[in-house]
Amino acid sequence: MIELDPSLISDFVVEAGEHLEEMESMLLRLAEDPANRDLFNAIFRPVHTIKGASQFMGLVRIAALSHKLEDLLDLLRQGKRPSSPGIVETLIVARDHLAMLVADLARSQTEETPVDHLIARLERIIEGREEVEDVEEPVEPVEPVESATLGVETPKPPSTVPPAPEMGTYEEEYDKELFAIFIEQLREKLAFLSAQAQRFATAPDQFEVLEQCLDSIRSLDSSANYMGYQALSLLYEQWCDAILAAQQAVALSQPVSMGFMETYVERVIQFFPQHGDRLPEGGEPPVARPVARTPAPEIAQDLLPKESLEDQAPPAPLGKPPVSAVEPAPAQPGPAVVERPEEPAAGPAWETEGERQKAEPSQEAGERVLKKSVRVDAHKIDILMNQVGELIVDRSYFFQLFNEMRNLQQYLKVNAGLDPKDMKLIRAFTYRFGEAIVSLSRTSNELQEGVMKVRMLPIAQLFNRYPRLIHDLTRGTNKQVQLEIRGEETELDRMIIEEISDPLIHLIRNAVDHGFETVAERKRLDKPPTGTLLLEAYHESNHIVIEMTDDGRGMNPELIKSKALEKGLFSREELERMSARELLRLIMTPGFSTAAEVTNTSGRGVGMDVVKKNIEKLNGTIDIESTIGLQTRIRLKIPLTLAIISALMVRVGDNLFTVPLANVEETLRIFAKDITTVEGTEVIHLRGRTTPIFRLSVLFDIPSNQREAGKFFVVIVNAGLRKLGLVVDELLGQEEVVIKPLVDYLQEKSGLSGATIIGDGRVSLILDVYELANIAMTRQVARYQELSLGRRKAAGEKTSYPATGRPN
Amino acid sequence: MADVYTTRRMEETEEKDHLMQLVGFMNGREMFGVDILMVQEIIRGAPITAVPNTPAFVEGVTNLRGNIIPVIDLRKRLNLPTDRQGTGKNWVLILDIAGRVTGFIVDAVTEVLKIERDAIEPPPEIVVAGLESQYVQGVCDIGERLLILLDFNRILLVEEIKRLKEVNMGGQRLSGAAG
Repeated sequence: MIELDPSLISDFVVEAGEHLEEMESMLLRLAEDPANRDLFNAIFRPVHTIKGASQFMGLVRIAALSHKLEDLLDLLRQGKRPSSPGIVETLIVARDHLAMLVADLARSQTEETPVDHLIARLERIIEGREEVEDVEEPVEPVEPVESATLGVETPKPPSTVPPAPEMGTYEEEYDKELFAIFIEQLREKLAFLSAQAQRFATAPDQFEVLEQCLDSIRSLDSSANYMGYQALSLLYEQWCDAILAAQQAVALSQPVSMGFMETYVERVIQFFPQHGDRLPEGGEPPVARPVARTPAPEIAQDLLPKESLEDQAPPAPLGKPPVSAVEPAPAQPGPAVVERPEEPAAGPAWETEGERQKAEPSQEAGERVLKKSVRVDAHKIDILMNQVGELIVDRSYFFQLFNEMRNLQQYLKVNAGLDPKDMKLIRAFTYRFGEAIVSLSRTSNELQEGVMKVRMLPIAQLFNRYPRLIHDLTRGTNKQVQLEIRGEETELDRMIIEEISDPLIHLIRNAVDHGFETVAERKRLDKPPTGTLLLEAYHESNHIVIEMTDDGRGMNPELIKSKALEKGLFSREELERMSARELLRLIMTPGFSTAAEVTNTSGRGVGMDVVKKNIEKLNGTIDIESTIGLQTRIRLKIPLTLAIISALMVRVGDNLFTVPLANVEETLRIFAKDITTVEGTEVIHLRGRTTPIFRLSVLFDIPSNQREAGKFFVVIVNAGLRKLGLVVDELLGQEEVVIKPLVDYLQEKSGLSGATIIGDGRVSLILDVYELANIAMTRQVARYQELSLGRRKAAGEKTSYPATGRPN
Repeated sequence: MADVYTTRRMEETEEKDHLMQLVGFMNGREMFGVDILMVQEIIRGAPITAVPNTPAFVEGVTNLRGNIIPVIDLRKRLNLPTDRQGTGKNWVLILDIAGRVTGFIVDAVTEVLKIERDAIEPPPEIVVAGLESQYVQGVCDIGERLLILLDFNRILLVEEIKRLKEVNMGGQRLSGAAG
């Protein structure tokens, strides 16, 4: 390869990264709508750009891969080659490879990821040699290399899909190599499962054992789906249900018999009569031959959960593979599959069409955001920000000079006795000086605002990553989940975006893994087969709220209660006293369980304590609401540290305070006669409602100086459910301010939520009205108690230390 | 070449090892010192915004090029007499104390001193300059006077400040109730 200029490479990496992101979001839309030629057209463009740039740079592999990709897309967009979900999957794999190559470049300046097999595969599709392909995309998208190799030789005519998922047998019908791999995996997993079943009785953590079994079976299920073995897949699904039931039982400390495990192993082996001897061969773990200890199949049937048996009766709906899994392409409306919403040929008739169109604008908004983004080293923005602050300080210096100039003008006029002609020159200069400062001030204000906004990014940056995550998580499982995103234009500080990325991924993974039921289960429950995960972001006062709502199975507080009791975290009395909401919060208690244990009693719990810790690190809160069988909503509320807020500036004595405008209901001017005292607290009557008022000077113990005695300014603030008035000396007007944190020991319980730097470089403290309301109310109670105490005691006698006067 | 270089480096290291550079500053008549490595910068005349409901020695916060940092009045913190001489612009030593950047108001900053590590003696049992010995890291005789090395890790004991703040809030409540 030619020696490359590193700066050219980094430019290319950045540019290609943007194109790849753009491609990804379009490819995911394509996965839902594989026949949309406009999308092919749209994807063609970034690929073409990448091809051109990489050829110019001499990046052989990227050029070759993007060239082939471009060829295929060209055929697709012209309709010369029919599209299919399989092809779309191949396109996604190809995009991933491009992304890996770009990552290679960024890391080592060379192309490392091998792409030959993929190029060969693309060629076959282009030449029409490969009709149907289902790329085994790995659950972990990190290493699609092997899996892509796996998928290379996979010609699978549509006719091989078994018409009905009745008990049958499978053998190596069409692809020996692939089948061998399949059998090998089956052998390994079954051995593992048998071993797990055996050690179950003595395992210290039975829940975890079951969880591992679930993982194995799901992975087997995904392979079976891939091979098109629907009946087998159905069996796996039942197996999963049986294990879930066992987990429930474990959670409730009921005795669990693992006999059904061997039954299922046996039944799986029955599917492969020719390989039965190969299957249970003792692998790495010591396994007893399952056949030897398996009860007769009839007994096995009895052992199955009843629902599973019922499931078996109407097999058609169950045989349906999950979204974006195996799809018998060329997408003719085949008789076997009717209910597939993403069936391309059936496009216009679907009721989801309306929803899709509704979703359309938001998706485009997300794309626009991507296209317009520029990557800048965050540190540079911080430096810029501070320099703007310095500029503002300089500006106020100029203001001061201007005032001095005016004084000088006055002085010259009075004392120096200049004649009017000379005086006119000076006046004209002062005027122009003033004009210049006004202009400077306007520009610097805009600059400050602009720089502050640079730090803010729309949360779309984060949300746009999740359709892919869900795609990957549901692929190869028996679940269907659609992601709905709202409020992705909501802006927050880029630092926070990075910080909440992992917790959100964790929550989404939890929801998909445990929150949602399988398609079969949902149908049985009369729910729409596709679950909906709603991600919503919006601002609430100076916080950003991110809500994640799934319409899955919900969480059962009773199960959590029994688990907490069993773990000895709380006493029975404590648990009895807890509200349902408090019980739900228990899943976030560290040591509540090793993840998996709660996971399946409630459908939640994997590392929730870690999520909570991460959110709390940002001074955020996390809230869980759940309705059993209906939905679970997780609400993250995170302060917009460093975000810009609109605020009301007020003065008390010599101090300037900042009140977030979101908390301000209204401002009033009142007179001493408007104030009455009720039980030691000053109140005013505001449109018929008694509203307590508190003097900020008293709350903060600072001197006050009002312009006119007996006249007060009151800021009515809204602190949650309470409304109260804060008495200040003067209202100074509204400003946009940047919230900066105070050092922890000054901020905690202080009634302050941070500080901001005002125009002249000084610091103004930002009021935390919720905390202030708490402080005020606490003191009010203390004062009332002292008053009543004081009445009882002789007048003038000192009351006890107010610690006794505190509530609780 | 390489050998010469290495030797010089070793000498430098040795010198560094037994010599300590301190920033000297005055509070009243006493001279104090702090390891130069802790000193981030020294500013003068910065406007300080008072923060309510804090211990008396917390003077407030100031804007240090866009960062808001707490400022502590060292005299008040050390319970030294507070009749500060020379009003006007105060000196603020900006120190990095285990990652917590904090300003300390002092009367005057004098000079950078180089002293031998061996010359530093442990804090004497008796009270030095009306100072509680827990805040003293060591003392050093520098000719005419005694230089007191302060232990700023003890001076900025966050837990203590938090506790003091709560007491302060309690007192507040009392005065609020009385008023």
